Amino acid sequence: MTHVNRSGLFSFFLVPLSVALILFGIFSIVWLRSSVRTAEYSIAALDHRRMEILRDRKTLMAEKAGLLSIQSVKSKGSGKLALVFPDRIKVVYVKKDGKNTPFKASLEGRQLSGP
Amino acid sequence: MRKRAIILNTAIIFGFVAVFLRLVDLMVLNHGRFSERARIQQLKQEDIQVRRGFIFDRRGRELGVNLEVESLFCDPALMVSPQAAAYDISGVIGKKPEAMLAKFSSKGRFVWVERKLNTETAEKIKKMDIKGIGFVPDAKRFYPKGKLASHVIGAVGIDNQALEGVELKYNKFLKTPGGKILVTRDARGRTLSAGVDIESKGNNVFLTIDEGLQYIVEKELDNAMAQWRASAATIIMMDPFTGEILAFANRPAYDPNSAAYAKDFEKRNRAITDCYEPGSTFKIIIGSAAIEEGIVKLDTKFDCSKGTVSVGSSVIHDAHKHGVLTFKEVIQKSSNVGSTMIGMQLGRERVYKYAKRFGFGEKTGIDLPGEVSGWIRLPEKWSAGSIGAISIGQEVAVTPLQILRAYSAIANGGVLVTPHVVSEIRSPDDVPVYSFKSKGNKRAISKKTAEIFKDILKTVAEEGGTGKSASVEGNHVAGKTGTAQIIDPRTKRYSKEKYVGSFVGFVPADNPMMAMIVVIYEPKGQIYGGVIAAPVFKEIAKQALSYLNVPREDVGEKNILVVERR
Repeated sequence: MTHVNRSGLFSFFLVPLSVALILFGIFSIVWLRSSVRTAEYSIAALDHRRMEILRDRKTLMAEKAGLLSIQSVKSKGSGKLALVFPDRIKVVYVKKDGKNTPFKASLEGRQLSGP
Repeated sequence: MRKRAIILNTAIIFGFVAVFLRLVDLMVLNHGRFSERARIQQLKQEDIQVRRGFIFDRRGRELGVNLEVESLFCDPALMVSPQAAAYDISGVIGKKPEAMLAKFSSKGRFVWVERKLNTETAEKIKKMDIKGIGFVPDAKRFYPKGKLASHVIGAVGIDNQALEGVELKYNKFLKTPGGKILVTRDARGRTLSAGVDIESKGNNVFLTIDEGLQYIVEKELDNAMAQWRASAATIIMMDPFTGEILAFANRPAYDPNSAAYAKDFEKRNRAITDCYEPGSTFKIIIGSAAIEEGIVKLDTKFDCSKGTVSVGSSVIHDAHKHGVLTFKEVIQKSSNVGSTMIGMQLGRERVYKYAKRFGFGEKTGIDLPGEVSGWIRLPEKWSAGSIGAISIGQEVAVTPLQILRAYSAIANGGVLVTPHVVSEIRSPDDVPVYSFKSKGNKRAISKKTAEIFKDILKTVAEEGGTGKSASVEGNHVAGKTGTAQIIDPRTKRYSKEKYVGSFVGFVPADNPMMAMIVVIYEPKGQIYGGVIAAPVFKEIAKQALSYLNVPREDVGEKNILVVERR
């Protein structure tokens, strides 16, 4: 009759397995903590980058506001582009066509031609 | 061999026991002390970056924003070579090395070296790697339109504390409470993410001001100042139905980006803080009171042929003799004699009653700091000649805004509106937190009287009226000129050289889009409101109507397409 030594088998397999599991658990925890910390560093770096971008955005917004000011547009437009504010005296009002087709305004004079 | 094993086992056991005991010491016995020490080492308290809300015009155009900057500080105790540092840094920021060195030699452990450096300058200094200096993130208030609407927007100080204008009046909305957050840092001092936003922003304020109209007003105001070499000037444009201020400007003015260098007289918001005797623009009181009380009709005649009238010990003069005038002509030609006669018919009680009804002697309630109430004496304190003086706008002190509000009442059918410059306030998440609500407008005069008086005011800007030069081609203007002497503080008498010329009115007269007052203080060469202020009104009205796409009244078509004719 064959006798199986259960205690020896337990020692042979389970003890190393338990040790391995414990070590695995410890390393998992360490790895997890390390990953979390790394993620925190990444988030901090992204936060920093975000703040920089927001700072640039604010600067650009202020620049844009200055450039789009009516004073700035007028000074630039009246120079190279020769734009002027509309003169009310030069504006005429004509009855709009019921067909919703555009009018043509002649550049030659007061001749308005319909479509 | 066995002995060695026992020794080894014992050593290992003692080793584990020692480790165990140390762990007990660290984790149980002294846990609190060590965890507190670790917390102090790992956690750092940082200020939440507080940023004021933005200020926009009525169309959402930025008038007040923030720039991210950095402020430079030093800890003199940590500085190795203050002289070298002072020399290097002063070269970058353009200050004298001696001034810099004085800061580096201070006794404190935290000394501001330079506030609000731009990013480029800060980066240059950071690259120098000077020991004992550091940077703090900061915000600088920036007004991208410069001087434009400076008396409305106001300004802030070096610590972004509100000083003037909307910045001051609505400070509780614009600013945000600060606070601190804890951030984790490692052994090298690098911080980890706090997990929350470290910036707290105030609410955004939307003004009733329109940048386009404001620009037109300020441009023409500068032209008028230059043309008449005036000491000061004010223009206010308002929606007569809602009380929304569309444009509001004073000269002299200042750039709020450098408010610290502005002089007091430049910062004065004359439109609401300075009183003046209104002169003929005050004739609205006796005129509308006379109609409302049924004392006169439009064709009631007044004999002004003498050119003078005696009231008590005073003699009231007309600038030119007019002959017999109808009530309508008295206003149109701005006859002092005729106005005095009307005032005398009304009597002091009724003149005072209507002056109060139009809001004189009281603040208008505009949401800007520093408004004064003006001044009108109680009738029982008037002298025998006061009825004459007050009828022509003397012996009363008003602000330009009070006069404009009174004329707005004529424009809108008799209701006294509350002028205001802020229409709405929204949180950074765009949720409305405040919107202007009128506290109940008072009626100054009946709608019928307002309509009658409006027609009279239209004649002022027509042929034969004193305000002819305010007329705008294509639209009717209703308004009134005013010319008033200034009291010389030295002689305590009316000056013969110093005047205030004004024009106040609204356009288009029958469906007003805007009411506007132009006041020019101490013009040189000419004195009459019809000559100096009315043309300014005309120029602004012409451009403003065009800007607002208000059609000319001489075009009957409703369904229109706009084209340009050469």
